[in-house]
Amino acid sequence: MSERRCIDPELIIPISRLSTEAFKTGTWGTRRPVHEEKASPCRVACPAGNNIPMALAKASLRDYDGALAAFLEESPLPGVCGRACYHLCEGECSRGQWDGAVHIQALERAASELGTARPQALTDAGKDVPVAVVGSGPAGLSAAYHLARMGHPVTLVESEEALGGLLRWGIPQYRVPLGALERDLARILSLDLRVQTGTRLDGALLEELRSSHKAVFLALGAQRSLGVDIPGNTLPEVWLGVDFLKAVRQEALGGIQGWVVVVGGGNVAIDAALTARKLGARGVDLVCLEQREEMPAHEREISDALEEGLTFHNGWGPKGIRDKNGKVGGVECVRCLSVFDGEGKFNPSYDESSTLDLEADHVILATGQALDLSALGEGGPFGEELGSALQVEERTLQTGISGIYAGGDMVKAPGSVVEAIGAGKRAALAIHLATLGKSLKEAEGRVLMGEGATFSIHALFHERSGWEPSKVVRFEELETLFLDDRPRRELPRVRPELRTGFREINLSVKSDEAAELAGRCFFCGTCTGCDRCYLYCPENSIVPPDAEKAKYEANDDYCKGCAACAAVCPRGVMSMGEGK
Amino acid sequence: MKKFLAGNHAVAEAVRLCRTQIVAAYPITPQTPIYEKLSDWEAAGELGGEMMPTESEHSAMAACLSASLAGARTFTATSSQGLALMHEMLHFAAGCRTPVVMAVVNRTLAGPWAFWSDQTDSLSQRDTGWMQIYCEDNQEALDTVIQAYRIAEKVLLPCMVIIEAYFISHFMEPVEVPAPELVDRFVPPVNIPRRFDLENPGYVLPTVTQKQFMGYRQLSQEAMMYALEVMEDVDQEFSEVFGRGYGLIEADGVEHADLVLVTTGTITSTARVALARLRESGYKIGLLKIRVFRPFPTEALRRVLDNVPRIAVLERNISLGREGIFCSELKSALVNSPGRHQIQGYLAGLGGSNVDPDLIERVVLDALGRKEATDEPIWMMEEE
Amino acid sequence: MEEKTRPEEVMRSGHAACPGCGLAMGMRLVVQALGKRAVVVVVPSCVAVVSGPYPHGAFGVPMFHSAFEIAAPTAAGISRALDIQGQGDVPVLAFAGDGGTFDIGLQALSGAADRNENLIYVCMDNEAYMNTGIQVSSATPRYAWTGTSPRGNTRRKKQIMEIIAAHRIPYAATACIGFPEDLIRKVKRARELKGTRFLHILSPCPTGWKMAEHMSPKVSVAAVETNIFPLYEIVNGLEYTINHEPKRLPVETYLSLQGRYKHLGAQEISAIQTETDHSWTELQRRAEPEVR
Repeated sequence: MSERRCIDPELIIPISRLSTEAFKTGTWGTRRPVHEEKASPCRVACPAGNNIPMALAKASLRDYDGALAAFLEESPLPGVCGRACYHLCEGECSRGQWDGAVHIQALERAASELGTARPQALTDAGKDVPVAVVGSGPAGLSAAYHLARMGHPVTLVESEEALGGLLRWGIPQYRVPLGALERDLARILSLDLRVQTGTRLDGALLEELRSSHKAVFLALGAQRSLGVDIPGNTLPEVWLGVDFLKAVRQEALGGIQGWVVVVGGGNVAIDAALTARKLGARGVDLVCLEQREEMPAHEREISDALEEGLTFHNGWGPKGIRDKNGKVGGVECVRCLSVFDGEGKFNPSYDESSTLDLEADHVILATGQALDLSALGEGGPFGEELGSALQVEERTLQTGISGIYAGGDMVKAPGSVVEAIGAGKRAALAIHLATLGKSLKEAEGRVLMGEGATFSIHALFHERSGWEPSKVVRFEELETLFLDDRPRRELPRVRPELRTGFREINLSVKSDEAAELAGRCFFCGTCTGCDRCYLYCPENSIVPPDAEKAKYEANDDYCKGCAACAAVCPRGVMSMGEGK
Repeated sequence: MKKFLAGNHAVAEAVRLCRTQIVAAYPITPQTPIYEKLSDWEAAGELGGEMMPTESEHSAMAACLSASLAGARTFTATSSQGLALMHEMLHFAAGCRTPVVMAVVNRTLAGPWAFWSDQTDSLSQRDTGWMQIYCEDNQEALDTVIQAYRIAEKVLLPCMVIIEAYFISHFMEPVEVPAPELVDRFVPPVNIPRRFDLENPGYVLPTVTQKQFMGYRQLSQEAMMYALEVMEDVDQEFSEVFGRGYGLIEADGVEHADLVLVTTGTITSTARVALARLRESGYKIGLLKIRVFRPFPTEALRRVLDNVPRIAVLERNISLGREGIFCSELKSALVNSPGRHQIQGYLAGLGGSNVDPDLIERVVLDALGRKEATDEPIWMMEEE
Repeated sequence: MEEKTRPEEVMRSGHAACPGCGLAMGMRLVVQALGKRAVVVVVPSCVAVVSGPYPHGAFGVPMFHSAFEIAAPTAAGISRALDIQGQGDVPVLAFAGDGGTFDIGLQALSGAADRNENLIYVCMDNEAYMNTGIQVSSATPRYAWTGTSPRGNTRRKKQIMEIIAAHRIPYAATACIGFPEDLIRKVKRARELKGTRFLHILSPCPTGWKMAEHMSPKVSVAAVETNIFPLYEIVNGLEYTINHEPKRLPVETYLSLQGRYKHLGAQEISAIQTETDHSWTELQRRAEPEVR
């Protein structure tokens, strides 16, 4: 302070310590950002509804425990799916329209290998509601898993001595090694299920389960191999598809010598063919009605088979198996002109004059699977309703008999592992809600993703504000200028000539590489906390999330509504809305 | 210690003695010896402060005022074109209340080109809010720089110390250079406000309202008026310490004079000679030297001139379209005098043309012989 | 969501910039990277508008609002004074617009750079005099519309980085908001050095470039990926380092986003492409290790 005003330093020049925060520039505009997470195309395409963006976000930070936990939110079988799934997700991946889809499947596998996580309980509301699950294939395991997470005491009944169904008996080890399956199973069993192996379902057992449990979920699979009604199909070296694979897994089969002919164009046919090759067959020919592009088998399976030296004969139908001194001598085939008729029904037409004769010592008929409910007994209370005309309600998977649900291959074959997982999850939720007197439709409405049947069970029990799962962020909505260039590269596999024995063909991805691959994900519709909206705001008026709230919000006092935050969000989470 | 120094070097000595911390400057004839001398000392490690050889005078003043706002003691020097180039920054420095000290070597402002003494350059900056002190000789130049730091840092206004080109700047005279200890006591280490405070950050010089602006100008004016008092006190103290004093004005033989001749700068020295001759011949002529021009020493002048009927103002400048500036300012200062004045303006020495005692004698005689003053100034051209 | 530590913000809300102002975005990042231990000089230009309408300030550091063309010597004077006072570690940063840098302030900037004054000079380049409306400056690119080049600017954009490099200052760099991490890194790098450091920051202006309010980030990225505004650093005026490999998108990608170019025909676009390609080749040549 000075003795005079005119030389008082505080008075003689203006120095303002006032902040511009006094000006509430929020009045400049009426638009405000809306932070709303949405569904990603990959997640919508996944029948199991896997939380792929979350899992990949974790993996990209080398948090494989977190990545695994994200998968376990929706599916109990990441180790299996990470190897055997046909990754519909990758087909819908937005990055696929940029520079190649993200390796979602390989990363699911990496999460299962590099991470440890326990299944998380969803609620204990089901604790007084026992439920029985029959069949421990993917549908049954999925149902048991989710039911147990919802508190239900679960009885899991399995006819074989070990769990897994087709996962154990049908999928060859070079695709899903036993160890990987066992790891997934161990995690499921940590939920304290009551397991009854070696127990085959019949009418009496079903009745008993019905009375002692509030509901029963049947996931029996399509265990019956169909075969082909042709001469010679009862000769000793003639196998039926899945039975052959099962015998191999149960080590009831030694090696195979000589030539093998496999009839069929589906995945089982190829699995059988490759398995035969690895067991030592001199050569394997695959015969099927379909042309290459019509084959029901997955393209990847087909190309794998070709790589390993199998020969395909497309457009041929088996006419008969030659008997050579009581053993298989060869397969006679006739030219197939078309598989489906004008109405799209399975009705092959042949040209009898064009034939093909293949030498064979073994024949595997892998021409389809079907449901086998003979054990339940014809004419009984279950035989009619659950017979070959088995129908289930589309959304609840309820059969015609109250309290009995069914799903998986037994309802619709051939299905994929992941479809079965999705069905098991749906049934589990339907059962859970029904026993509590609640509506599936209402619950579903909150967590259905996109416009399909995929839903998130995790989201149902973890209130998540600002998530609009019915909205899907597609590639067209992304600003390509913000996308980097990191083209997809193929992951290493064992070279075809080295694929001896039943070792896995696809190699594991190591931690560094996994993180890098996961980092290619655009995380469509999921907020990863990248802070871009926060960083770019010229008003410094985006309030980032904290322990209390998970959303980025505009500070209403200062937001001028310029929409830069929405423009820079590379995942379609931020958009602009009117009003404050 | 007495040294034989040119006026420019005398100024440089004072700048060094005052422990100036930053000298930002740009060369212009006839200021260059000040700049060079200080640079010499800096190179030899004998300056104490640092030189900042800017690329123009405008930047030099920008740097001086901002360094001053940060709390440093600064100095610059210039002339003519350079001073005109600084004009915007002069207003800024004064408005920022920075105690920058600047030596101005009065030189003609082009066009046409001429490089000799003329006061129009500094006088045309009289509205910028800077204090202005016009020196008569080399000793006064040195002493005034020392006084200027005391005054400026007290009233927080910038100050020009003004000397004429060649007559002072390059002319060599014996000059008493005071001992450093004496100057240190007279001008203590700089202690002006440091405006950029990290602990208490503020926005220095935001836009202000119309009313606020008027208030700031009023405060500056008050400070200017206070400066008159401060200047007298400092001059008084200076004379006690160093044995030399100059005052706001100097009045010699004004009481009972028939005519008072008003001069500034070196013309005063010449006038002393001319008037001595005239007085010997029996004329009663007073001499009034205006030393401090801003703030204008109205009260001091009125005390001396209120009852002086006839005044002649002789000056080395013109405000085109009116008259010599000292004359105008004097007339306006005396407008409220009780008595009537006859004030005649004379212009001489513009562009550095010669003002000798004969010319001054002619001025005095002309003024004495007039019944009435003319509104227009009378031009005293150099005699062939 | 997980807690995240974020750097302390230095710029406050409530300033008077247009909605979506790219210059404000840039200034915010610069002062955030600079930190609170600094002094900031601003001059009349959009920079001053962002600094706060009277009498409030937008920055939580000591600030000085100096005159238009003297950002450089002002910062230099403060820097020298602080150094004398024993606070030589406090960076002094001057913000100026393109007008105050390329045109009226060029002399002062050159002088400061020539003397290697200890300051960080940041040019927020919105390619015209935007604070006073939209008038052409020597930073306006060829063909761009402004209020005083209504048929399109006929002059080439002045190459300020070349001019600055010729002064051989310790550090100069281009940056833009489209690449915020790069910008922040450069400010931090500049902060750790002494002498004259120069940052040329492309600051898109929705108002003057005639775009929607949200376009600044996108157009910044486009500027870099088309090589209109490459990101690079120059050390000591001689060592060039290119910081981002551009996608080399056609210049039309960038031009088509802005109304100030909407009158361009194929010939002009082609001319711009040629010029851009040539400049990029030149830049690459300078960045070659053998050339240094």
